[in-house]
Amino acid sequence: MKFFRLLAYDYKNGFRVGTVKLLVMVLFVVAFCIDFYYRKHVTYSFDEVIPSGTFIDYLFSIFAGIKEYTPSKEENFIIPVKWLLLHLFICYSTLYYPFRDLSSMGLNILVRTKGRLTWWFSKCIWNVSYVLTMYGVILITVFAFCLITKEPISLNITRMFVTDLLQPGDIHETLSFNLVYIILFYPLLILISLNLLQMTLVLIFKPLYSFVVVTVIWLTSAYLFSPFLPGNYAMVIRSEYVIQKGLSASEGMVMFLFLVSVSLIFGSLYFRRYDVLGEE
Amino acid sequence: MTTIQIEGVTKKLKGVFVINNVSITLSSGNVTGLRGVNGSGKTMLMRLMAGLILPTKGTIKIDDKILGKEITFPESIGILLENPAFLDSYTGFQNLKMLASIRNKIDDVQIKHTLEKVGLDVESHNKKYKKYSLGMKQRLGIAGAIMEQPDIVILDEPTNSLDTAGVELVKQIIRQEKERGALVVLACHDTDILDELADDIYYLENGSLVSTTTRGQTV
Repeated sequence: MKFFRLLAYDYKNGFRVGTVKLLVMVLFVVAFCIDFYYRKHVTYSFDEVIPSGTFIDYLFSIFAGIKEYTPSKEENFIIPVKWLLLHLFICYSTLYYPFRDLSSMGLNILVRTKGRLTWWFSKCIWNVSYVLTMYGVILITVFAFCLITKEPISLNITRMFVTDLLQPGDIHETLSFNLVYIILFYPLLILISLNLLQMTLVLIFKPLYSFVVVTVIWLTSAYLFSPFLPGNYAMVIRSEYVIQKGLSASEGMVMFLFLVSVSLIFGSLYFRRYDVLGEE
Repeated sequence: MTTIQIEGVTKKLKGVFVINNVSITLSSGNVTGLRGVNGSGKTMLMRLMAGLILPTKGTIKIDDKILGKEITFPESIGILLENPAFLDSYTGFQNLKMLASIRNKIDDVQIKHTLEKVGLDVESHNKKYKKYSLGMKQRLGIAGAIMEQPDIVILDEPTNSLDTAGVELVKQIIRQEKERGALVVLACHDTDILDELADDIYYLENGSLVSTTTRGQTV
């Protein structure tokens, strides 16, 4: 029973602290949608009719990332700013609440809960819920943008946009419907796992250092095409359903389960002996 | 009858002994005072008693149950550690209500009664915490520690930021808590307050216990 009261406290308090960030996310997504809308208009400006972009096309453009980069003198690495900004912003949004809570009222809450694990799992559920809410905000904003601009609300991926605007490289002739699931769920799964990892790291390092570690993971993932770097699975353009030698969805699922398990198990074990010293 | 038995407790943080081989026994119906300069280990000892940090060596038993092994935190405890911290955008009443919702032991009437007891009038109940003066914040912190009538009350510098009338009120509250049968642990820079209220005073220096005073008798 106490667990649910604690969870109610975290929802109330954690979401109150993060409301402004949810609104900032709306602005980001609107900017990304406008960017895609205009790139589409510029690219097809000589066509008779500017092709419509569906709801899933917009989402694809947001979560696409960049194609595999091969380090060379001829080609410079271009940081996927939109993709990185979006993911880092979500990670940053969940960074401080659990830590600061322990330095403020959370201290009094913690001694009232009787169990350290109760506190830890409540924070984990809050963290996942917050990421889900952020994701929900992204979907709703894209949906609203499509409604306003009269773009079709559909899950049909327009292959032409993928080849012309996202330029993934060695693309399949036809895109499988499974790609829709990848777009809808994989960036979310990787976000959840890296947010939990970051929360666990906060117990060991300070929040800022944990954020730096997670930033390095996201950046390295963009730079190196590897199944061992989780950010790759959040780049839809690198999926096996887009390019010939893309990353397998099942390996992505394994990565998600691995990161979540490690974060939950290690975090709960560590927090059992964690010294609550406040913000020092 | 609540007891806290601290047996040979040492706490090392980042290679430094913040508490060094401290052994004391505290029991309910008593006010135990902790004295020492800043950094002497008073707050660390209080955090250890509250279960917020765990000893590197030694044991702390609350009613014969080992803290950190048999129990995670004392069954019934109220704490005010250093500066009180509440949610800025909530009123004093809302903050206490949120805190009380975890144990669900007291109702709104009892919360309001505690607010009045610490000298926060009806008007300030509904004032946002961010608009509270330092003294009011301190009073709210004390209210949070005592509102559920816990068996153990830990107060770290409860008279900080309080005027003379506020200090007198805190003294009165501590006496009431003692009469109620609570085990009160009090850390205070003001030696007069400790001498007046505490049954036993432990003097800490660099994390070690250097002397004990029991109602006028120094050991």
